[in-house]
Amino acid sequence: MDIRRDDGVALVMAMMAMLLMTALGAALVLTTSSETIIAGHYRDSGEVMYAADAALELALDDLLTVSDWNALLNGSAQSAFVDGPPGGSRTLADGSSLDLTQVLNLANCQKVTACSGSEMDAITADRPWGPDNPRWQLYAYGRVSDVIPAPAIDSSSYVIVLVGDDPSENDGNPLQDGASQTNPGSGVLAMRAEAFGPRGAHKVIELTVARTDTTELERGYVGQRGQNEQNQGARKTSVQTPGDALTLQTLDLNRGGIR
Amino acid sequence: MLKKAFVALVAIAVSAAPAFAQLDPLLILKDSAPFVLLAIDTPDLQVRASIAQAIRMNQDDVQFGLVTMRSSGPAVLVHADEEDSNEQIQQLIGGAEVADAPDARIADLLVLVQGEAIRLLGHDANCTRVIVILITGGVDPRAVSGVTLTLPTHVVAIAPDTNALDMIGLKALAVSSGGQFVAITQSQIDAALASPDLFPSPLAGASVVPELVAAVNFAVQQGLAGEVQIGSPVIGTVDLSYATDINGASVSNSVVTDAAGAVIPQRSNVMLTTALILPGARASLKAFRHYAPAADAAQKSGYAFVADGTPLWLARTPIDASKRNLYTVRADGTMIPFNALDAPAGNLAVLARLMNLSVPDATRVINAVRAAPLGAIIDSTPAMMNPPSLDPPPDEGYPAFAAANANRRGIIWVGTNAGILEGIDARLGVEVWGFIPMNLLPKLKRLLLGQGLTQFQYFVDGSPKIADVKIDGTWRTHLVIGEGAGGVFYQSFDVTMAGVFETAHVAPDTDDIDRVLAYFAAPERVRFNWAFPRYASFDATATVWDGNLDANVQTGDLTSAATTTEKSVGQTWSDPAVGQVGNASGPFAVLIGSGFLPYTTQQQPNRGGRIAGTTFYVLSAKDGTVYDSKDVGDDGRSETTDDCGDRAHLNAGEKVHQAKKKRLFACHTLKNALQGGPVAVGAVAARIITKAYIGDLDGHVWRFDMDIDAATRVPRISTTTKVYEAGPDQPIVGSLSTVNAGGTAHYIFVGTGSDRLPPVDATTTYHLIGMLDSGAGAGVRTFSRTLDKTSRTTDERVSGAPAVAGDTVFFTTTMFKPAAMCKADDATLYALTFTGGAAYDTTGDHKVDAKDSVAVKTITGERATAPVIADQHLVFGTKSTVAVFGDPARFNNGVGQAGVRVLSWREVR
Repeated sequence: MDIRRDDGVALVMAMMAMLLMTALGAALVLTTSSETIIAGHYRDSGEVMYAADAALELALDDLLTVSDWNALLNGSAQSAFVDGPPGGSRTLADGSSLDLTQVLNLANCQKVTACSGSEMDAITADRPWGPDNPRWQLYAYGRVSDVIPAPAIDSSSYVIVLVGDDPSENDGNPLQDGASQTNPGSGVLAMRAEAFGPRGAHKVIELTVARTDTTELERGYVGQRGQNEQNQGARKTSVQTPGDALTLQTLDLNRGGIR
Repeated sequence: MLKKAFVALVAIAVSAAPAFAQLDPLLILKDSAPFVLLAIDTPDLQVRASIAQAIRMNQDDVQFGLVTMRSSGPAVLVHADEEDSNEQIQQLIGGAEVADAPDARIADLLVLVQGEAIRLLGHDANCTRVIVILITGGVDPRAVSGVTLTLPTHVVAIAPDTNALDMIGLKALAVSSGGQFVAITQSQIDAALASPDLFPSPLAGASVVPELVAAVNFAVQQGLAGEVQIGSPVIGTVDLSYATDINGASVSNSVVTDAAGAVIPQRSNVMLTTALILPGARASLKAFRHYAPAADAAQKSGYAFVADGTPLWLARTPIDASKRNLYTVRADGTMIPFNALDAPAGNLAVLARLMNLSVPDATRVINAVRAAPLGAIIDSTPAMMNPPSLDPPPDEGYPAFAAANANRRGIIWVGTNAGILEGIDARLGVEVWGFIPMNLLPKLKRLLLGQGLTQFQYFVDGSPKIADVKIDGTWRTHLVIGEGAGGVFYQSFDVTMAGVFETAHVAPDTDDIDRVLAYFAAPERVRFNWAFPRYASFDATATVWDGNLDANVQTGDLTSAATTTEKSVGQTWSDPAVGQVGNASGPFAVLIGSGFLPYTTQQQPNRGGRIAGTTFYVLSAKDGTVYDSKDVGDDGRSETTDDCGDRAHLNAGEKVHQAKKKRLFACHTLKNALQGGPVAVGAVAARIITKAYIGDLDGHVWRFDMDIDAATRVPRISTTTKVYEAGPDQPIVGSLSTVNAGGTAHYIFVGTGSDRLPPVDATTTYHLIGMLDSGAGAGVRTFSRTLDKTSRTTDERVSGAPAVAGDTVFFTTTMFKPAAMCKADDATLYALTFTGGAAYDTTGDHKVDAKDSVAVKTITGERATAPVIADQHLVFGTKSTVAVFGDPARFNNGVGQAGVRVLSWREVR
């Protein structure tokens, strides 16, 4: 046999080429699939980011109606945007399950089971303020699609907004908004929005908000009957604290005096 | 149609001078009607005609009895407790023999009166009220002595010698019994004889003496004496810097500064209350300090703002009546003074023509109006105007407008039923300006007769709306007001008062009332903008069927040449909404419904049967031009009914007292009208109006979507949607309240029925309703709470428009007790979440659950006005008090619209 004979090499070459092309094609498919998946994840990530931001906007609007922020810190006041009791399981659009209580626990002590007081006060990299660590409370939660009527925006995201005492306070009491007016965190609130989307998309935003000085605001001729249509339809702050009792006093028209 | 509010009194002691405890129903029913004993000793024709007039003015709400001096001696001719006593007297009063012994002893007459009064009081000692009116024209040389009457006794003496012993005795009797002594002078009688057509009498050849009628009406009103709140209190901001209270004492801490020395603003610091005072049908407009600063080191500002209630003032006219700045307008809109000075020359003749009177009669009416105290405030809720303060500013030009008017004097605007839109100085409580709408000028003469309980004459009974508007590129402050049951016109004024401080040097905190009065002495200070319908469409000589008078009267109406749109306006009950419509380039507009108009009025030849009251209008704020309108129609039930009164149910041959027995079943369904004020809304956090909600008397809630017509570039009603149907027996009388629920969705809250309407049958119940309107199609009800109704034992009805704060909607209701009319009503405050659940802890367990009630508080023995929320406190009036809900130590929160700002934002993952 002459080893210099090249009969049959074309088949081998063709097969090698095919293998190469197959490999290239597979790589291309793999790349395309990956890119598609990556793009999908990127899109989902962007969507839930916007969903979280939208949830914060909605919660801020509702926050205007709460006169006493201590009601937020102790969990007795909630937004109008809630889809059931503050806790328990929810089924997301993709069929997966979300446990609100676990989300809350993760935020408070980075584990899914219930948090003890010492665990919530523990100093960690994410929660370095010790007894002034925020003790998050569920404030608003529900599907984004329930906020915005279809078909304006079609979103499958589920959003949760938590509220807590802002850590700039130093009174050691995370359930009270500043033990005194001079506390640096008095009139300041921490908020945390978490949005959950398809394919495990999950975004978290935190912000702090402060009350403005309302005594400077008049906003139109309020001393008259009826809704003030010039006032942007702004909703009035609650009378006392909803959930608590209402205090009644009486003005005597003949003698004067509110008692 | 809507019977108005008068307080009923209960005599709780018979043997001694009765002490009257105050009831508080708004509706007088037959069972509780006061008895008025007329004691007459003169057959004078004018006296008899005047008495007949007075009886007519009170015939459905009072039962008269008649005791006279006959030649055979004093006699009870008509017993007040006979069912048709009023009709019997009307038949008898035409004959001179009714009192043909004018020289008989008055004392004998009074003894008989006392016996008859005691007999009447035996009906129900706890519930019967008796008033005595002695009308005497004779000369009795024997002094009245030895007569003691423990009931209010009013003496109307006809052309008396006031120095005569009998008159001195009668005057003492009136005063000591709590009544009034009125002398009708010969000149008053001669004036009546000289103007027989002023108040035509059915007695041939007779003239009604208005002063005599007024005296009888005053006396009748004492049967229901007291002070009752009908409209809600309002809370606003008044400059009280270094002011004094009603006793002249300095208002404490009227100016306080923080640690840095900056003055701390005190917003929403004054509460206004209004009430109707009987007898006299006068106004009670009071101001109270809502809260006061109290030093508190724990507060950032150094002060806590705590509940106060210091009385500041009781509104009044200027002590010197010649300083009253009263105006009206000609049809062309020129503001002219309303006085009898004939200055400028010819002005008096102009007024006389507008009033459809001779110059002498016009002079008499003008002087009477100017001399009268502030008139009854019934449905007009005041508006407190302080410097412009929209925040954020609507555009870049607004801050300069606000700055230019930052020192504008505070004025309170309110309508009264003495014919006048009042401008009251907010700091001092004195009338500084007044306006009589042109269409009400011919009606003013009826004020000479006083006010009857049945034939109560309304004038400026709508609530004013203050708004900053941009007209032709310039910001102005406008006031728009209707007349309620008083008329069918809306009026718009420019109340900017530009330069009041900078040019006229009237400081916002001055106590020099003469300076303020001098400012308004110039007619151009408040400019009349427009009327809708136009005043040019008004005919002062026209006869109109007046539902309250149940008669045709020559007090003016629209001309037959008025447009069909103008004829579609009913009584202007619907309070206006004012704002910019469509988009940021759209004009400022006034949105109004209309109001009920009696069917008989509608069918007059000059109106041609044009259905009135069911149209929604969008008007130009600049000139009142109708941009667009929409008629919502009716359900065909009771559309030919005039009112809910007795006479609406008279069958042929029946007498009024027989129709009274049917009254309890009136008003089950009503002639339709858009009676309440519209609520104008737009997108979230946007001030541009894109839609309005309003309810009607057929039980519907309507939504009008608005935009700017691309072709005409003016606002138009793009769609009209029936959002909700509560049922044909569920009239929506008051306004709604709404809350933006995100996007185009709105929560809407409304109460059906009203405590201002007569009761209906034993089973019809009313409701507190919440619904969610998505912005497309019909709304979805979120809750409906049925009010209490148990045959004639309890009859609960809503008191007015609901109010919203936070996530809570508040309603007030009045619980009537029809079977026991002498038992006072109860007021209840409801607080519900938007889905109808309890909003507050009512069980004391510091949480809200199924055990808590939406009925937060019931105040027994009181009637509630509608609730008002300001500065995180809710208030509503109840009889002679105001209920104030909220933290007693947390006031001055601005207007209760808290703001927040974001300090930090970070993405965690």
